[in-house]
Amino acid sequence: MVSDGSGLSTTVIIAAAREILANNGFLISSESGLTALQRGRSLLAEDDYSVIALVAYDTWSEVQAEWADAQAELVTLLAKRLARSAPKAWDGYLVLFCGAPTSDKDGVSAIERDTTRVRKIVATGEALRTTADISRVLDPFLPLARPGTGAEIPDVLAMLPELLKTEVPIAATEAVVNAFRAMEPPLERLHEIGDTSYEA
Amino acid sequence: MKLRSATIEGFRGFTKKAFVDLDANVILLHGPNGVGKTSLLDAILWVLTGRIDRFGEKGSPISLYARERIARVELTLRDGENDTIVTRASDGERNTIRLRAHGEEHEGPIAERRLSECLLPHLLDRTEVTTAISNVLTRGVYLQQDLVRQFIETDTPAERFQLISEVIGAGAVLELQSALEKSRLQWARNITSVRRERFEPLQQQLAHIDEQIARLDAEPPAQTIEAQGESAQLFTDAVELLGRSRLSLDEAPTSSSGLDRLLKEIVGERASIERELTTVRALLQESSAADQAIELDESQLQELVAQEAAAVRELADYDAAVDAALETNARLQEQRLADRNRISRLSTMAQLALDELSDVCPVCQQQHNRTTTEHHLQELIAAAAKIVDPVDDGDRSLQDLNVRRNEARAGLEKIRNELRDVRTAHQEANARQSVYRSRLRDLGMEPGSDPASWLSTRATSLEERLQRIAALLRRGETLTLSVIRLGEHRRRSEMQQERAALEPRIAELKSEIERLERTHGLAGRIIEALRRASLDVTRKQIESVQPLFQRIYSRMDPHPTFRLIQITTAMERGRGLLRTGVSDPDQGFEMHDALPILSSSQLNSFAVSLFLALNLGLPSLGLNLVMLDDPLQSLDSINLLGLIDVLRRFSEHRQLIVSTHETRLLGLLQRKLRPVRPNERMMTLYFDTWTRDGPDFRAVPLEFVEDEVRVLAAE
Repeated sequence: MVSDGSGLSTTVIIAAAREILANNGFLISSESGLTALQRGRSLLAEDDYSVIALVAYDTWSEVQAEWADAQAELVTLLAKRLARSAPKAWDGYLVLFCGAPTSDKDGVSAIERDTTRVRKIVATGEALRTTADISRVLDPFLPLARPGTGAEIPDVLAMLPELLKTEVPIAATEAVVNAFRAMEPPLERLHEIGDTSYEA
Repeated sequence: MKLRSATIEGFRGFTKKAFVDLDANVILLHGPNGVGKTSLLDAILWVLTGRIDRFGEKGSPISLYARERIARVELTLRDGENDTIVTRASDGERNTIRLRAHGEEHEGPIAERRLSECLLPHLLDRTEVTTAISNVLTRGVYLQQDLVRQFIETDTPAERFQLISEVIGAGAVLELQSALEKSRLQWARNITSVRRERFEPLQQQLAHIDEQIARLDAEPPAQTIEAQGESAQLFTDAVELLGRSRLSLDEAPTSSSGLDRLLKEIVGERASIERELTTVRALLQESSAADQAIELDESQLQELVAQEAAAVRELADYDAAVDAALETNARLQEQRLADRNRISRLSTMAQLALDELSDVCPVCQQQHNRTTTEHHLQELIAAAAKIVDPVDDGDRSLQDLNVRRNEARAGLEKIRNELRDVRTAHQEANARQSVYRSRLRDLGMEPGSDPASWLSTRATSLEERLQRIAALLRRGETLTLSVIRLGEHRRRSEMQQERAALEPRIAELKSEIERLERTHGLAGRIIEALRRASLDVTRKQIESVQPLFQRIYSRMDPHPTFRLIQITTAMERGRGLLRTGVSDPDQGFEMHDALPILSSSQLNSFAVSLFLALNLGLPSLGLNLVMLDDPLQSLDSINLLGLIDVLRRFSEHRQLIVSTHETRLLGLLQRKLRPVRPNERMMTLYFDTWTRDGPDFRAVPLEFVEDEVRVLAAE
């Protein structure tokens, strides 16, 4: 069986989100017991900081019709299971996926800019074309990994002879680097090593 | 390595000694503006770098109210179980630093070096370590409130590249490149100097020698000569011919110049003899004609004297005749005048008588014949009318006499002129004769000698001497030429030797210059390669940071106007450039300069994102710290929430210090950045007020509390 290329379905969205969040230390539950968070197209995730409700819709009109209910049920859930003073009670997120694209940018913006109760993040079809797009939407909840390139900055000067060897003989580069380190006149040292160093 | 505590005294807003507990992974500073929050952050920067660049030259770290005008900050850093304590102090003129670590204590430059090794180990060998550390800390660790957007707005692409290179450790490459460029420039000047001051003079000397050699005859002299002997013989012959007294040289010449001088003197003598010979010949010609001329003149003179006497007499006769004729003519003129007067009077009276004429005379009363009388009177009147001057024979005679007398006078004058000429010629002949005799005496002729014979003998003698002098001069010239040619030959040999000695020196110097130029060229290649290397190293690091930058920005602005942000590197005229741009592939839009198109809030998000990406993505710093001085200004609520979410994840990697003056945001930060793991701790420093003694602040720690309450149970 192959993908028909028609975009991400709510099933794919939720599956991908589950995998991404689980791989980044979230507890995942699909059994919220909340009616607005329909089984099969929603999930709940929790880590040390926050509780996230993800809901995937087929159409933008569904989002508009149901997002408020989903938010209300999430708030109710947090209130039921957490003390009011618990910080996590103030750290709920509602992520709304819509598989279909929408031109209602104002509608999207209005939901996101309504920061009362919980923070909302909305992703619609035009930004959901690959499973990598799911990662991008969920990125704010994921740990910030440092770039994979070396944790240690190497001694760049020591690397130079090798780095420049296609253009400059290794001995010549070593001569100037060593002179530079010793605060000696570099061209004098370069000159001293003689003709053998002129060709790479 | 993280901050553990700071003790601040006399620094900026901290007047009296204050201890600040920084032993937490998140430290929040809260309080209104101007109560010391930024002073605390500045104190941390100052103790690490010894400078705060944004103050420029004018700023001083010393508190205005410090009684001893001494600023002192002590910072304790912890790396695992080891503490490093850095203390820096300044009295405005002298800055001191002390560092204690691993039981050792260092001061001054050693302490600075140890500190730089702790903070930026990759800065080994750098000469501007303090500047490098300051650049790294201000661009990657401490986001200062007033410098949030400097990196994007003010810094040029080249400055950005330099700063980023510094942060990632490629600054050493740029510094090496700069040092090489300076040395290479100086090296080139040195080559030019060697060429101008040493090589070119030798080349000119060689060209001069070649030119000299080319002008000298390459053939050796045809015959060898014994120049000294020849010269001595020549001198002896000259003395014999001319006389010792005629030569100024005391001895035979020993050089070409001496020989030349001798020949010039001989030539001078020859000219003298030639002049004498000319004189002798002239006198010889004069000798036959002189006496004869004088004799001819004498006879002519006597004849002319006689002619003059005759002419004088003739003239006197004419003068007497003229006088007599003049007297006769005068008498005749007098008689004629008297006659004319009488006739005129009679005519007048006749006219009167006619007017009164009657038959009786009125005088005598006698009667008369009137007709007869009248006729008589008419005749008297007519006689007067007929008076004319007669042609005088005496005048004609006088004229003739005058003509003849004038002719006699002219004849006399002519004779006298001839006489004068003859006398003059005679005098001149006498003078010439005198001169002639005088010159003969001058020539040495004995009185009584026959001048012509003597002169003839003399001319013969002189001609003979001239011939000998000519022969002598020819010998001298030949000898001189031989000597000169011999000298030229020797000179040529010397020049060739000099040239032979010069050539290896030129070749050696040329070789030295070529080697210097090869080194210069090689240095140029190294510089070019370093440019590429610094660009490559920086680009590689930038590329590794780019995704992180994008992630952070996306978290802060989930739906940005331009979906992608970019930092790109480029090389322009040998300088690395770092550009910050935006793009949106969906809209086919890309712009390499983000500044003109981003709003102020977007620009803040952009700048803060880049700062955080550099902090986390470029692990060049030995200090796991990020300090944000009131970064939440100018951010809208979505950006603000996004930034705080980013910072929450940041605290997993970095010790985090954030200041804010907004109470509402403090609560948000405290909740979002709360400790969620056993080893985490939050410290909130409340800066309530500020007095001249310094800020009044209190520290409220928040420890991790195990929260077993979970909303969800894992599936």
